[in-house]
Amino acid sequence: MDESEMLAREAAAGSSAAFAALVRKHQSALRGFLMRMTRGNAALADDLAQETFLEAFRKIGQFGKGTFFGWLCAIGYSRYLMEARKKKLEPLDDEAESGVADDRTPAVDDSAIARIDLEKAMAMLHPAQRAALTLCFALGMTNEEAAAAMNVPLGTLKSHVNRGREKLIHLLPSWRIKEAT
Amino acid sequence: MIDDLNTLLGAPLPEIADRGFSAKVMVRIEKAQRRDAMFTFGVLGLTALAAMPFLPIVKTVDALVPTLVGLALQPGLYIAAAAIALTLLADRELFQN
Repeated sequence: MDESEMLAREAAAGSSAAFAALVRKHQSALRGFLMRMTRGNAALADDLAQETFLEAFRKIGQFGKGTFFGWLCAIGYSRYLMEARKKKLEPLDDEAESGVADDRTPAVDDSAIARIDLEKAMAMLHPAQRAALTLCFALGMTNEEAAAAMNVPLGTLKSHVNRGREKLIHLLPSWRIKEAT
Repeated sequence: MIDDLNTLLGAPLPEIADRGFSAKVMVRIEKAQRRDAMFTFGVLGLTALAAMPFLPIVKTVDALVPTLVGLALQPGLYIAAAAIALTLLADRELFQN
């Protein structure tokens, strides 16, 4: 059992200090994940992160197997989906993807700008593909952990990852070609 | 290209400074806890008030008063109270020394 899981047990036993330590430890990664899900909307991402921690505190007694951060992401992702449905932030049905390319995207090999390219390309993916790629790559979860966090079967998760990667491969060089010509 | 993409995707998300975020979350949690406690006490109070007319309060008090008066007149009760007080005092003295 790692530090977070021990703190979660203490929080479940009524320790607010333990929960505060968990918030401090995971706030950056959770806000980063939600920031990517909301396509860079920092205010909305922070609101969702706050709601996620509040819900986690209420349900801390239900935290069982798996990692605490995975459990937190599951709550955060479901909060994001509710918000996206309610405010119609972007289409969530299986086939819909926002395919509007951004012509202002720069095409330079510099790593900082490559990150900006990636964020813009990520914003064009279906939310499930965006979540799957972020959880599996940037946040280093196993496929099983990511599938649990997204509440989807393992096969569906793998399909989101593969389709998301294919779309990114298509999107990233197309920007460079566009800029070069 | 695929290797580049894996590297790019695998880069950790940028660190986000706390800037009071954790404190804000904990304040909201404390407020929610207070609200929940007030709601619970409110419901309990209202339930007790609603139940008052149906409870045999007068009969219960009538039955309790002679028992309490009887107890107050028992010297054993005072001896026991004094013994507890002396034990606590002795315990505190021992702890301080």
